Amino acid sequence: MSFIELDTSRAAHILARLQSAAQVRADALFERVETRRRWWSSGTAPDQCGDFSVPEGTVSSPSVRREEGLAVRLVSAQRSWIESRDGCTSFDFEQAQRRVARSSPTVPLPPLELETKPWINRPAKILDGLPAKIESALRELRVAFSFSLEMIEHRRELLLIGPDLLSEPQLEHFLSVRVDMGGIRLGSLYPIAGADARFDAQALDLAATMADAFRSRDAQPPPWGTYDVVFSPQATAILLHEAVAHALEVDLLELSGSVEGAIGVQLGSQLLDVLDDPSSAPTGVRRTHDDEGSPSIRRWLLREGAVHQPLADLSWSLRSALVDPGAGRRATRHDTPGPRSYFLELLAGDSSRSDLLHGRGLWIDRIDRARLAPVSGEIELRIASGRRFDSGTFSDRLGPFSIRVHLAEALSQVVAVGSEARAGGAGWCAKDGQRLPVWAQCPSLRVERLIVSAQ
Amino acid sequence: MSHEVDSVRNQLLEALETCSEPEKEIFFKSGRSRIVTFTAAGPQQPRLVHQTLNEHGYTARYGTPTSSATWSEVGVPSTILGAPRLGTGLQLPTKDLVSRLAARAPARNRPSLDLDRPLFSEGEASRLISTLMDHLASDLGRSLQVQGRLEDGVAQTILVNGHGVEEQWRTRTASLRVDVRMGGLHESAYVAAAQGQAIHPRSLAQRLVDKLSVEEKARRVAADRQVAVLAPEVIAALLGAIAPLFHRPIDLSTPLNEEVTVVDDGGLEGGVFAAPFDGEGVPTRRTELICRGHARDWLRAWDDGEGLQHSTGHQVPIVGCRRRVSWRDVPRKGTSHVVLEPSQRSPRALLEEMGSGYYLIGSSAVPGVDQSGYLILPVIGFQIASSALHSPIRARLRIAPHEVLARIRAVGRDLQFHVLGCAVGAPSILMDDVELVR
Repeated sequence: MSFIELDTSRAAHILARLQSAAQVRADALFERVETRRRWWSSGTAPDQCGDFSVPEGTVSSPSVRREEGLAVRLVSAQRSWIESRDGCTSFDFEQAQRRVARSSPTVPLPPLELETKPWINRPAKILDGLPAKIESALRELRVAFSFSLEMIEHRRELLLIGPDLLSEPQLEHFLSVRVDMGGIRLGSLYPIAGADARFDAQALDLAATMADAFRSRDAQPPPWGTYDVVFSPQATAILLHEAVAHALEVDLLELSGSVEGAIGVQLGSQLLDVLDDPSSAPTGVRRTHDDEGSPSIRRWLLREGAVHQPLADLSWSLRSALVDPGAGRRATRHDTPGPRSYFLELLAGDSSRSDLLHGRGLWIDRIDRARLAPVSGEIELRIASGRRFDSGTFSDRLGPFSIRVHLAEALSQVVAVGSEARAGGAGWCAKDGQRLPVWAQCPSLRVERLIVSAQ
Repeated sequence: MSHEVDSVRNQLLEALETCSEPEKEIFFKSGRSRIVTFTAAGPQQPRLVHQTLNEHGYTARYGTPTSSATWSEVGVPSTILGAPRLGTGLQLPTKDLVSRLAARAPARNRPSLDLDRPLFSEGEASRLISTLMDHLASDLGRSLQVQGRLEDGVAQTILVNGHGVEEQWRTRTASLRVDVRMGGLHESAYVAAAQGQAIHPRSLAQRLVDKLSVEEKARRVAADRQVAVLAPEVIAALLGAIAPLFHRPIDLSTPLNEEVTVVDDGGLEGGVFAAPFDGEGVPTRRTELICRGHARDWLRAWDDGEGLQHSTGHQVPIVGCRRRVSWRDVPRKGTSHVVLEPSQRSPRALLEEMGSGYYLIGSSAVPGVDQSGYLILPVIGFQIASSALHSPIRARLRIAPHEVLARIRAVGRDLQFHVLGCAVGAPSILMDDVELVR
């Protein structure tokens, strides 16, 4: 069910008329976005709760944002035209197609009847119980501290129409939570699977992360040196997001060499099978089509460590027959689509926990920030917390430290992949200033001989 | 145009009437932008994306001094539906207050002629980009990777509140950001202006050429402490990072060099973010934050209270300083155009006064903060011996936020603006005891 009613075949026919040549595509995106932002505080000072003060222990009223609009695009390998508008009316659609076709206002354009459905006033109580569940879980974990929460329910509906394809309506519905523990800030994303979502498991998961961050608040970084490092599933997802997903986005790949030349290159250990598959993402954020209307494909990025299929959008696929579209994403209708990862999967290996944690090394629990330098291929990981381990037993907590390593070095030094994959590592990616949610499912990963330094 | 604006304002006033809350406000903004993004690798023709944006929407805030809610939506509201209110209180400025403040600092709006000029056409944008690319290629060769974004936009804002404040104003901004990669080197440059015609692609290209040429030959400096001349780009980055210090009374234990005068001006003539009113309809004005080395005013919003007075007893004026990023956002306190006022000296005179030290000409990043709270800024420049350029260097500048202004020994005259969240204007400066780390 889409939020907009229109004759899709007529829309496709109108878009087809805009295409002036075989290598030109026209498409239209209709978007409806709703966010509900709420705050909760356990008693921190008002200025520690964003800019908002809330009576202790109560959830604030939602700050609501509702938007709908459209974008019409004419895209070719070398040049594209996009018109994006707030509003989803017949007038908006006509103006948009006139602009991308660069036609005179006197030229009559075929009309298209558009009607958006009324907004649904859903109950705002979906998040009411979450703070209490987190507090209860923290009590179980025997820690207590003041904290504030910013909880945002995101709902984005899309309808994409091209001249020769119509995607089914797409929905992304998820919760983002930001925790401020007075100097320690954490963030996480959780898909919302339905109107009766209860967030029990998510509250436990978040409370465990908060407790761990609190207990590591005074931990010291390890001395500079070379260590064997085991990444938690969440940390693995962030490492692979930088080292595999970003590295294989065709626009960044072009900066360091040729896109075609990268296919088949042995980038990492043969233990690594990495995919991007938006259609396997959790319920609530599963996507069958990308933000350009191309079908999402189960895309092997690395197969046994070798580059198989880079991430590409429609524009790049028009330039090279070797890359397939389906990974074009944009933060809003007002942004230009580009190749991006959506749901990253590392296939589970056969290493047990004792295999991963044999000998001595560092366990990385939580990565704060990560960055790839696209030309040099260097990755910087800023690690928020970790532990030392010795023959399967955890010892000292470790505070902020960082790892700088070339992506090929990190991937080729993988010696073990855990046997239990977990959903996790979800977060925001802000490449090119477009803030997009990304999702992942990964097991733990052991990488040998990484150089670790204080931040 | 004015007929349309009047019609929208009347609709907003009618929508406001439908709300029974004592505090209520609608901020409406309608804007049009043209954006051209371009990418070029090697000798190939650049790939271009021409984009036009049409945005219009509003944010309504309503409630009482103890609880409130906000509601943002596309279009013009016919009624304020809204969510139940709870939590943050809301108080809005009154018409009397705004009139009094406006009388003290008459609102300035830029001539409508500028605002009515058409946005960049597709042909003008293409010509500007090709001039830039030709200049870069002729100086640096063809093996470059260039990414850029040219933007030109105009917006109309209307603000009404339940206390009789009704303001409307127009703004215009153009900008060009370019990233150039050459081998393993990467430099970027950004320029913004109130008018697209003020963007000169050749001078931006020349800045990039200079920075890349220095970076290519630069050696990394081991830890050192020296006197240094900081070019406008470098001091502006530091000034931008400490701008939040001006949100509250400024605490200077000892006076600064008397050449240091810092102002903020939300209505700066020709400024990128210049507007006659802030995001709550309060008039903007020039505020002297530091005057000849002495702390003076600070960004005092209308509801900041009387308790926060200057230590000398001087009455700190109220200023419109709550900015909104877009129609979707609630207003937040912030500087708009922070300017370190220039003096009469040329950069050459500063270098001569320094004798030996460093001349730091550029920085591609905003400063980070290390674990001790010091600002860390990657810089490139030259080592200077006997007032002559010696060798290109690169390093990271490390400085405590409260030392940025305290270490200034002399100020130059080559004022330049850089956009770092807000617009920051600074000339070259001579700074004592500059710490460089690897």
